[in-house]
Amino acid sequence: MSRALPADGAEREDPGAALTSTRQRSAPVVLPAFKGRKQVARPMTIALALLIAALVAGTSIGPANVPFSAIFAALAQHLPWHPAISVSAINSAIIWQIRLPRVILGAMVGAMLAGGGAAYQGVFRNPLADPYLLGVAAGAGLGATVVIVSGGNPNLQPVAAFIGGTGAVALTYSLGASTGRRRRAGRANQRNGRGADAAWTGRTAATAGTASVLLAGVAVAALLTAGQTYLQQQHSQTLQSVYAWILGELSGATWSQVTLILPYVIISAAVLVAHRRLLDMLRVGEAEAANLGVNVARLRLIVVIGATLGTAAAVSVSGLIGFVGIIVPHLIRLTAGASYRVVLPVSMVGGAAFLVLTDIAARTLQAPAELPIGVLTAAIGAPFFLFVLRSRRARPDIS
Amino acid sequence: MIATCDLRVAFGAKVALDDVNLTVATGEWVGLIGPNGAGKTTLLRAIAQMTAASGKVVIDDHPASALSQRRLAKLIAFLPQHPVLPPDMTAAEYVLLGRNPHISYFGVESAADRTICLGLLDRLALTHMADRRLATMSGGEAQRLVLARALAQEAPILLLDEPTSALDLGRRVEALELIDELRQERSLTVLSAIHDLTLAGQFAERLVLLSEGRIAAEGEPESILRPDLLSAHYGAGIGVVRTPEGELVVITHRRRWPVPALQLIVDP
Repeated sequence: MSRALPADGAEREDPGAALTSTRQRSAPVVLPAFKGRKQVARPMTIALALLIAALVAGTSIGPANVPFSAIFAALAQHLPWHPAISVSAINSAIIWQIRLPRVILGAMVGAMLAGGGAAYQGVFRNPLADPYLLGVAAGAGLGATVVIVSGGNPNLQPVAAFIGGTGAVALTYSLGASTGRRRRAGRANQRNGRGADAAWTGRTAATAGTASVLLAGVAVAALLTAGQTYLQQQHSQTLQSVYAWILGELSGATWSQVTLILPYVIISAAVLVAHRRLLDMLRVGEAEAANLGVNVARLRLIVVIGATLGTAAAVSVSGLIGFVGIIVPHLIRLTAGASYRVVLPVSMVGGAAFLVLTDIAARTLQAPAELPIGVLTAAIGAPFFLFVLRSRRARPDIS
Repeated sequence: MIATCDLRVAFGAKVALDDVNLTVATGEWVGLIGPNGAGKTTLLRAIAQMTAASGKVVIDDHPASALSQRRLAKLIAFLPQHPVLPPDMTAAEYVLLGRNPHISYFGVESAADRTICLGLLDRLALTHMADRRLATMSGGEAQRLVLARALAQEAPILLLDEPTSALDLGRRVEALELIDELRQERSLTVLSAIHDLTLAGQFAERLVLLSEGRIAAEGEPESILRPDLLSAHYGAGIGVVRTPEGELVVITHRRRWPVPALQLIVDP
């Protein structure tokens, strides 16, 4: 966007004459410096177009041959003041009860995984962070496995996975953050003899905890995965269903699942997008962000809570779909710039489109059988990951 | 105004700063000098609440430890020695980061914030590169840019950690002149750690000599830049020459000249 330099800036008298000679005084300076909304507009338009195309394709494509006109009719039937349309009950059920909840759930899951990944990469300043970093996957896996092996009601599975996922992150965070704080405060008190001021140590701990939180995440994930593997091995008759859950699937999508996770999706998306400017502040590092007035510890906690709610909700209905949280944000960074004002919202829309498209491939490549969607995202994700690693040399600012 | 009272910082067994009582008046430029490891950076970080310390720091009548991060950033702008420059960020976006303490938590930059940043870019002769990525900046340009970001905070106090260490001789004087002009324009209080003693004497109104974490001497440059005092703390043969214009120039003497070891290497 072009912006004319404000008159007072350009015309102001300069009391320090020393610099005048080096000043650029070319009269009306046109400055494409603050791109703001314009910067988001183009990638967002492309992502939205992709998402709409994916939703249309996802609703139209499937093993059953439903004519295009029947699709519109089936959708129009559910409008509040729809015209009198006749459509066969089977076609209506295929579109409304099977395909539509599936593409919408896929879009929500994709948006949460990609948005959560982008947020984690920003808040931990680590380009390889994914939304499972702090143990969501391991916790949700344990929760789902417990329900499966105990032969519990399958409706409990998403609830158990959600509790497991959020519980694991809460454990990681409280362990990691308190370890960092206690270590620093203890040392400071010991050293300074006269008793370190609590506010000071709290503030310095804020910027010191990242590594502790990440390491705690590794430990918690390892512990919970061990528990899950043990359960799985002890109940080998349910191996198939546990395994299917771990690979991730959207095949059982229903409207009730959509409404179940919708509140978390809305909260998570709102929290993450609201913090896009502050995540940009973190790009200069935690210490400098703190100097610029950012409460780094609070920011990190809120963003982690927001990302975790969305990710755990997504995982609870879809199982573990890997790589979406890494490939989508990096694709946005490489093509549209590293600012979180772009990366966060566009990742969500792009992630939704990506997962819906991948799901189409998952259910058509070997129709009538289905490929696990987690296999496909990883099959695309792993080569992409290598590509990102290679291009990092040229553009290191991808965190 | 900055005041510290019995400031003490320790890292493990090593006491980095002890018993530091320092006052910097509003509008004053105080230079922190001292050998490596004397505690210059630690003192700046303790004042900016970036390191755990005991004792008191008072900023404009507020105890610093009671201030929120945002309030602190409205009072103190800190220029680190090695600032992080995200390579993909543009110069204008970078300067805009400095407005953070004036923007509400969920808010975004207003037109007024942008105007302030554009004014600063103009003032620091950076307007023509406002849209350039930071990866393409030279050392001198990056240095002015970081200064612009700090000024965007509109804080009355400027803490500088070796602001000119990455610059060549000419850029150093230029940068310090610029800081001095801005200080007078905006009545800024400046506390800067500075290695180059000649420049320290030329720009700071008062020098504080730190040695092993304590204030060894403080006063006007004339009284601090003395060969005996400097040699006692820097440990090298240091001389001070007065130019015909009356400026003090700090020089070092070679301890052994000619150097026998060097001749041995040259003549096998």
